Amino acid sequence: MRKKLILGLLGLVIGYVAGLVTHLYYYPQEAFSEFYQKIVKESGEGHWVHRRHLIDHTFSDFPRPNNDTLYSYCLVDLAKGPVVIEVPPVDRYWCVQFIRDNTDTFYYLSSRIQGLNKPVKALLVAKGYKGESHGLDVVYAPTSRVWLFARQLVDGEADIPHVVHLQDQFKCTSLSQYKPL
Amino acid sequence: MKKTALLLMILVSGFSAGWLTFVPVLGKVPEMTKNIKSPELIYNGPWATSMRVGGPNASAILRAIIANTGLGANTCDEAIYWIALIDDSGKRLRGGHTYEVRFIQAPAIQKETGFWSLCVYNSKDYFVPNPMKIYSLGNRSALIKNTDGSFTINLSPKQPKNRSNWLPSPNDEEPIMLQIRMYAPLPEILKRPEASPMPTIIRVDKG
Repeated sequence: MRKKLILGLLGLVIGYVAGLVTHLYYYPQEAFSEFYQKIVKESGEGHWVHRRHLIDHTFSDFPRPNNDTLYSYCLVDLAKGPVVIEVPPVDRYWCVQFIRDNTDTFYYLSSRIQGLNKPVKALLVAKGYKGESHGLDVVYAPTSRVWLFARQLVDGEADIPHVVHLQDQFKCTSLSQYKPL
Repeated sequence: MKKTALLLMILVSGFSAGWLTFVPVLGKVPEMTKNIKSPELIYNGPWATSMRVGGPNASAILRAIIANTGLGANTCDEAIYWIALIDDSGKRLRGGHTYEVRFIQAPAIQKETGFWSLCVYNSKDYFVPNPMKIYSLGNRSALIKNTDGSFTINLSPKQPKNRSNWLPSPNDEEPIMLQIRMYAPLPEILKRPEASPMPTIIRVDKG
């Protein structure tokens, strides 16, 4: 009787730890998915979605946001084809962070790398892409779903209209519809 | 047959319980482990950061913590995030008290393309509601500085003499955390973050 009890208890503990650890490894994908689906449901997929206000205590997209930059999101499913990302000339800190579906960052376009005040373009493709580069820098995504997370520095409330105007010039176009000037 | 079925049921029940309690357990890990030194973190006074944030070398637990409380965090080349849960004496940072965050110099970021900021998060990991809408101070703020470039930021629920250097904290004694963001940090900081000049955090109210 005692043996059965101990065995049962051991089974519970082993099961519990296994459940905990399995969820630990799956959790980042889950967090990514929840965010991806939430934004797509609110605002759609494959185009830039902009947050127009400096964040205050009412923001709830995710914890610990910053109060220094305006956020923009572009959620892309590369199973639907490659996309061309275009960044206009920006006169202050900016970045486009490329996030794969386990939340790791795999690429950046950024003022730190490309500099300020000039347009930047990139062709974002799925891992096995073998098509043309169309004269663009090709970025290979390790996963089909990608979260492009852009930030631009804001210098106070009065600066916001200028940054909103910059946000509106960010583009995400499917390759099939891309027409270079 | 009955025994294996029973054992299977026990394992599955245990597994489900483990799976379902994971997120609540995860939420408590940073607080519970704040006094344990992790090999993944860099410590600098009361401040801690990790150079592995957002990258493939982060451990499963670090990745999960960031996914839970800092989804979308940048890798360290783009931004270094320093957090403080304690003051210089090792006591938990709390609302309701007055602290001085004393900077010897401004955080070392790239001049044209970088920026830095200091903010406080409440126990829910969001900004402290306040009618003045002050949520962060940084390189774009009109901070009052000393001639040698040093300055002090006052973290308190009540406005001090220098409003320009005030970061409002909650009135009640809930646990809070400070975060410093260094965007486009200088190369020497990336090489040796533990040597980065970080501010001291001193509690100045009594009791």
